[in-house]
Amino acid sequence: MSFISPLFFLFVGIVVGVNYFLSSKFRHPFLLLASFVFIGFYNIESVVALLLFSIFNFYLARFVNANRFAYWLGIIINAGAILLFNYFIAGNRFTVSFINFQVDKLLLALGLSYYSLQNIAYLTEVYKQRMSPETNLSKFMLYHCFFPKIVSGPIVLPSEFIPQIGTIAISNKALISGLQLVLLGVFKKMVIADRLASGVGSIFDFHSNYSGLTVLAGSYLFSIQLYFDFSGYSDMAVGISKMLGYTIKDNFNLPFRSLSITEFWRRWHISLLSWLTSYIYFPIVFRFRQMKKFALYLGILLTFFVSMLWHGIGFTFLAYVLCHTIYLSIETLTRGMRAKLFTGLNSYVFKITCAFLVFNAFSFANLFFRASSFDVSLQLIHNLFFNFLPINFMTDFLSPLAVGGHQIDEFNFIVSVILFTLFILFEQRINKVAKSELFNFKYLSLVILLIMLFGVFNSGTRFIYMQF
Amino acid sequence: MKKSKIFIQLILTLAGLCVFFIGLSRLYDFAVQQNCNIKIAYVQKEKIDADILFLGPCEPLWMISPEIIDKQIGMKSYNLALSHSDFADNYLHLYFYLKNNKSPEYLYLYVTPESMDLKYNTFNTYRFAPYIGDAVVDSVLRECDPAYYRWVNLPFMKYAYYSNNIHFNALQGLKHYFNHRKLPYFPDGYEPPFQVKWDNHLEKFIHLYPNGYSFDWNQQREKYLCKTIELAQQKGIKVYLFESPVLKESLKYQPNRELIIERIKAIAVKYKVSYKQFDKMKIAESREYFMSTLNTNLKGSAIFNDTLASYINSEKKK
Repeated sequence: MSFISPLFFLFVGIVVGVNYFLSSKFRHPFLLLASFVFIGFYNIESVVALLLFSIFNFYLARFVNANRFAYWLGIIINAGAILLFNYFIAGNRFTVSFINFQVDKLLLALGLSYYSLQNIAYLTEVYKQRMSPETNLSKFMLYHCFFPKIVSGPIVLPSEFIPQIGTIAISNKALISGLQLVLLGVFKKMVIADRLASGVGSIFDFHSNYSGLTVLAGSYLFSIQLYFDFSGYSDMAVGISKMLGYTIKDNFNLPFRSLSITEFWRRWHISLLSWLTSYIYFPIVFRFRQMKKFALYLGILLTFFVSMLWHGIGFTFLAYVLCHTIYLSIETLTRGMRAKLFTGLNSYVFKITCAFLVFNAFSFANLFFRASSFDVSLQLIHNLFFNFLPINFMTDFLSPLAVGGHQIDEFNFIVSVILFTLFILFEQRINKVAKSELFNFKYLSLVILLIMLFGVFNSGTRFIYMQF
Repeated sequence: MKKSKIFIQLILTLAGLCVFFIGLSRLYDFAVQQNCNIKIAYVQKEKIDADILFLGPCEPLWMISPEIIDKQIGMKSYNLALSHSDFADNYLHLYFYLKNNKSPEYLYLYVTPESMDLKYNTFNTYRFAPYIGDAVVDSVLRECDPAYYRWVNLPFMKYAYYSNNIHFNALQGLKHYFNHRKLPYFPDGYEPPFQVKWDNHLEKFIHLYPNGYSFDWNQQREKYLCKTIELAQQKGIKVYLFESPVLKESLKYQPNRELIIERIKAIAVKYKVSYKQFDKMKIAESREYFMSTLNTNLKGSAIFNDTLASYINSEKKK
């Protein structure tokens, strides 16, 4: 059941409606059931995987706080599941079928890489005695498989979610705010991300034909597509959770306004980065604190290395991670010098220049992230530096981006550019209205109107981050 | 804010949007039909009354010039072909053409093994959005694009579903209406190819299918090929099926091409129509005359148009 499908919206409508009218005592078993139905739509193996992992971690947590071995066993099994998941995603599969039940699908289960991170966080919290193990299996399972966040997060820490179970009251304000956020997510996905998908595809999939300028524009478009796709999904997840009475933290906070890469990573995929910071970066920096600055670089490198293993196994991900490690290391190394040089320079132009540089650095790294292979990314970079100008602006630049050389294609491309530019310019205001608890019929009308006018209904792509 | 007040506001907002979309849908119905560059709209607004119709996807669209043909045969022809169109698309275009125009004497319908395979061309649903409600259109849409047809009763969804293909046409239609424009950009329906260089299609094809590609015969394509022939024959039109020159070097990558052609010939025999292949033409042997394996360039098209005109002349005399 795709997040952008009539069936999903019908499902959400029913679940929100029933949950609203149920007494609070029955809400979490009902949501657990709804989550299993949702996951079951994907495949039965995902339900089995989820049950196995939930039960294993639930009972293991009881032994963890007194037992180092149990803790590390849990970490190895959960981390191993992520690695195997990525190993299979990379195309290496075995198939062991047993009455139509494919064992490898257990490790390709929906959301496995997300809830494995949550399990690691949970076991660590219990091991460090910052929380006591959950005693109610159904509550723990709901934390695990709460359907709005199972597909691609946000990754929720146990201390943020479990205490909300059974204590919630659903207000009308939460319903309104949730609905407005869901609509914003649908808008971001259907009106911006999916409109850009074909142009991005044409650049990255027919890479050898295009000049550096076209590749550069393609990498910008992919950065924008990725942002709107993923943040659109996150808005939907946060919005649906709100309508069900749960508060989940935002996953994005205006990342394209970041003035440095460090700031960018505080605003982009916040839940993953806060997980990595809490459970990888800080422990490493603390462990090697005698090595001073080197501990910071080591922390950055290992944090991104873990991030790479989580995203996927391959040279493209390694190169992506190395790019960001280099960016962050340079920033850390030059922090003092930059502070001296740019003191007093806080003008609008300076901020725009910084944001533009950050966007370029991010887009450059995305050449590795999006390319289908390492060779393709090298070819793209070669074009970027050695074959920059297109021979013919219309046929070699505009046509590939617009996926066609007709006026209608150029018209559609220009509409897309106007839409995302306006959105990015007014994003702060739009977010404020969408998250407001006041019913805003102008906002509602405008968003529905834009979805109907410019949304991609027929060939929408699945969410990019579903593959992780 | 009170619960009831929110509920009323929500209902009013949705009702207002519904009314707006119903109005917008009507505006689009009107605007798209005013667009002279859209063939289906043009042939219904203006009388073409051609003696010969050419029908098919991009190959006849980009290759057959009525201007050249007409000079040689002394008749009026019109190119009703449309890019990426399959037989269901062609069938509906012929249906609408015949609604407002006299029946032509001859219909030349482009049929190749590619036409019978779903990997080539498609049914372009959006072209028929303004005509939903017509029983023939509805039945074809229901069959060829059920996912779309399920939504068409919701306000504006018949346009929203393929909105990328619609807005520009609607805006251009309004512009044509206010400018009182009567003639399309390509008055005889022929669109000269804008890209005259070799497009590397064959190289990409070989890369994708190093061992060649076997065509899949699609039953729905067959059905609408037959329906198109039947519709023409009901109107007393003499039907010719034809295949334009195919670059010879590409044939070795299509192991079952001849088998598929035999099936097309069987259909031709069933309906007692000719199937003319121009594959033996000299130009088929050189890339010099092609921009892709099926599309000749301007140079190749000029030669092909001459040959086609001669063939039409010889058939006229029979």
